[in-house]
Amino acid sequence: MGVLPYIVAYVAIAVFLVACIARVLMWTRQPLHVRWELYPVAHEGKKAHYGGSYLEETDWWKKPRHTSLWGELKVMIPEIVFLVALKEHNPKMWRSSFPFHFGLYLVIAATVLMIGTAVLGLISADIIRGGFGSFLGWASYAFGVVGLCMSLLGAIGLLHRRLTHPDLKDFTAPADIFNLVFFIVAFGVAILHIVTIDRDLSRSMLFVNNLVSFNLAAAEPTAALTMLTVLLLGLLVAYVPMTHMSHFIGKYFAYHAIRWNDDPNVPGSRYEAEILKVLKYPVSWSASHIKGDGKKTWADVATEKQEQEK
Amino acid sequence: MSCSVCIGDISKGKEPLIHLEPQDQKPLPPPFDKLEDEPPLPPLKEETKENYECNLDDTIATNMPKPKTKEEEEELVNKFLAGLKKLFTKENNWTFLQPLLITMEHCAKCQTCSEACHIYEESGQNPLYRPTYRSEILRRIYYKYVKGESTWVHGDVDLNWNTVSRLIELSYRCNLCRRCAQTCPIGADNGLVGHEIRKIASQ
Repeated sequence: MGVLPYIVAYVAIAVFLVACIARVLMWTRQPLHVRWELYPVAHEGKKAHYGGSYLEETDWWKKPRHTSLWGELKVMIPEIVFLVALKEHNPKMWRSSFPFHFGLYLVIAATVLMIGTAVLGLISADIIRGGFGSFLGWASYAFGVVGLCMSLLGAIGLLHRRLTHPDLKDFTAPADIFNLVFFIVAFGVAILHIVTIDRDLSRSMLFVNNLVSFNLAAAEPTAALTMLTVLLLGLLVAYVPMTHMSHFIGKYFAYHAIRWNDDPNVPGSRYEAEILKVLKYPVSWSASHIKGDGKKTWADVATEKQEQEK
Repeated sequence: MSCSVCIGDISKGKEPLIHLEPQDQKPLPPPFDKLEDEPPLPPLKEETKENYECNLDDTIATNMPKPKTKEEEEELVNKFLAGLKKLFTKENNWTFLQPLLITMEHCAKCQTCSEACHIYEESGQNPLYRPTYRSEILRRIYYKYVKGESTWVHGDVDLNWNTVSRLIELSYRCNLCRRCAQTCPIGADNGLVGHEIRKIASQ
């Protein structure tokens, strides 16, 4: 059974990456949509604080366009880390959702630290000897344990709210319950594993080290609880991007492709080419202002309307 | 189930799902704060009820003629489904496909948007007018009848003439202000869903 947990981990990581890439491709390959931004648009810099836009300026199309990456980061970082929109508009939900998500970030940070430590060790064992190595080990331990506990408590809170709150119960599908229970069981088992078998996380760190270095020959016989932990966490990692919980990808597009997408269509822009492409699509809506027959294109419809208006 | 208007109710019965009294509303600032002085909402005429679908609430916005036979109902339901399929093709709906798909896929049904909706709030928080009520019904129809996916994953709803007529009428209980979208922690746009349902009626 020694190499089985490693195989599970490799497969889980591969499925996660492939599913995430597929999601990203799905959203990037969507056709151009009409402008549908919601103000304030964060990259409008000084204009963002009052919901303004470059469109307020006279002859804006003749001027170089400035967008503020810092303006976006000022909104994105607190939103991603602290879920500020939820805190502002739904504080009761935030009390469970924040620890759940922040705990996940800590678990991810712990994983990244363990992988980083393993990579540094491969480059030179001297780097991770002594104080720096101890610090990395301590930080991985603290982030991992605190993160698992926060996420577990958050998931229990979210499940309780889904099952008991009258506004949520009717809107909750069986899969929503399953997803939260899956997190609770997987993280609960991981905490049990730490408490009973891997108190200083040294086994987990060795596991990651072997995983990174493909050193499966070093694999030792695996305890049943260890195998169960790896299996549950592996399944969870592979499962998440296949569900609506992949909103960590969808949210990026919701903001950058829609809410904050105020790019103008000016001659020579990429939008000009895209608009010419979508206007050639055949349309079959039969409403009186379209009268599409499946052969007429959007360009035909737009041109016809212009002629009528003359 | 403790909801006063549940998602499954959309397909059931011929009678209006709710009845509103002026006293159900939230008082507005003076001089509109005395709800007891407000006249009752005038009931729909019998002739209107006979000829048009009046199965949502106390009024109608779409003047949908009542189908005369079961076959006609079935035909209209099939046309609704055909229109729904058009909504998810790039040829017919490139204009809103990406925002619509993100909303279908990622709404967490957390109800954060409800309190941002002035229609829901002013109705005395009647669940029929939640931004998520109409969008969740459309989402369930889409996944069940268009994508053929499991109701275990996305939830269940029955599709019949009651569902179709009420959903289209309900899309006109939204003025597309997108305050719901503005407050969504994920970036879903339930306001857009009202906009898209209206398109199906003019397919």
